[in-house]
Amino acid sequence: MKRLQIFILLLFISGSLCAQGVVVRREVEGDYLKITKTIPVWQKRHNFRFSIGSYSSVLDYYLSTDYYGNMSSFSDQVDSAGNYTTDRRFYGLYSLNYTYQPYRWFEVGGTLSFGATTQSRRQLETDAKIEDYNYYAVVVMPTVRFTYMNRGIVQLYSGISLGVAFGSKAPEFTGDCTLIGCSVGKKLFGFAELGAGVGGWSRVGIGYRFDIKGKK
Amino acid sequence: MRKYIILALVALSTLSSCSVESGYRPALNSVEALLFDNVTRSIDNPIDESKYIFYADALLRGSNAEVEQLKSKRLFGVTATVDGTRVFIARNGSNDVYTVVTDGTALAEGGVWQLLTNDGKEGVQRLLYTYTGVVGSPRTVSTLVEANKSTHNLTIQTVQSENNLYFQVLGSGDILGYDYELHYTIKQDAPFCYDYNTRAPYCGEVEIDYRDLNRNTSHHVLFDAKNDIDNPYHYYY
Repeated sequence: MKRLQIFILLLFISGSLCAQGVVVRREVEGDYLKITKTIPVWQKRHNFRFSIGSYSSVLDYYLSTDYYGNMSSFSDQVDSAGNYTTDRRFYGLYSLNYTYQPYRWFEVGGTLSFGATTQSRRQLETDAKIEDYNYYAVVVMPTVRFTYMNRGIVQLYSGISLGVAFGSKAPEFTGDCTLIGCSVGKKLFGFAELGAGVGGWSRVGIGYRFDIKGKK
Repeated sequence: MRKYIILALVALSTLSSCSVESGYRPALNSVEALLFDNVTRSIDNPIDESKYIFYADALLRGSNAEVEQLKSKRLFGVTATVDGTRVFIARNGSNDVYTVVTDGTALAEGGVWQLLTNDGKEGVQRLLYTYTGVVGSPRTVSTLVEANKSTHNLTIQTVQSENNLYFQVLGSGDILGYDYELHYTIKQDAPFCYDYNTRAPYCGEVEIDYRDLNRNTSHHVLFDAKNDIDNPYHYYY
């Protein structure tokens, strides 16, 4: 049992060591094996991201229509029978994200997102618009991100955000989780994520990161 | 590096503007079907109940062939009793009794007859409709129905074709709802045809003028009963 516990502990440590980009070099010098561990000096950095996320059932709560037709009276039925509704269209959840990265494996910041759907009701005979059913949602969430693999220009990470959504409907607490994300690039990078929550099940975007100059 | 960014931008554009819910489009003649259904539901009772009047008329004239024909079509399982100017029609196995009260004048001579029901209770006599015979037009009655601020002026004729016995109906009326008004006229050259076993006509044309009093919208409709074949509001019995 003790060996298993040590193994699990080493697994976690190796994860963070991976994220730190530690380079281990082994050299034989005479009768000795010289092991050199090089841990690059980490520069704190700012990260900016812009992304578009897909639709999700969580987002649907904030952007779904409240119009389902009014059939309470005969005149309502006749009125509804004389018109039609267009498809409800979604234009993507656009997000701006900033994080401060004090450690190679950890980022903290915030996300601001905006999403909207449009739909309208029109007359069958003349196609004249009767009413619009446009809904929007603004989501503000603090974000934390954990990087668990750092290999040159490729990073793998996960993240979590919890905040508030407001807009066409009353403000509500909401959240998002990046199950797995992959970014490619050094300063300018692209990324793709699979997630769950208000951010959509898939997101793609571009970002820019720059080191904070100062005491090392 | 550049190709990754281009890939990301392509993916970005594919995520935009998708349909998350289909719109709803009713059938093209939904308004017409709704208005037509309102008219036929309003007049199906006086039309259907007239079968008791025609049955009593056949009994009083002593036309056994007509009596048997009417019984076989819709009035199976009834027992009729003539008592002076009254004909009592009872359904076997039921407490419902319909009473046809004549004024002593035959329908073909313009007699005014009333149809009453006991609502299944003894001692009750509730007036349903009054039918007036049309002189010179055999097996034809007219009736004026006034109920719930609506008025219907109908002429109902029993027609015998080679293999069928059906109602032929002409007339017009006004239906006043809580927030709408509707006027209809059955076309003279296209009367409604009612099979004895349905509550909606299978032929005929009606002109309907409808006005929504709140929304101030209106519809003018000429509806052919044949187009009503897929109407989900129909019911058969």
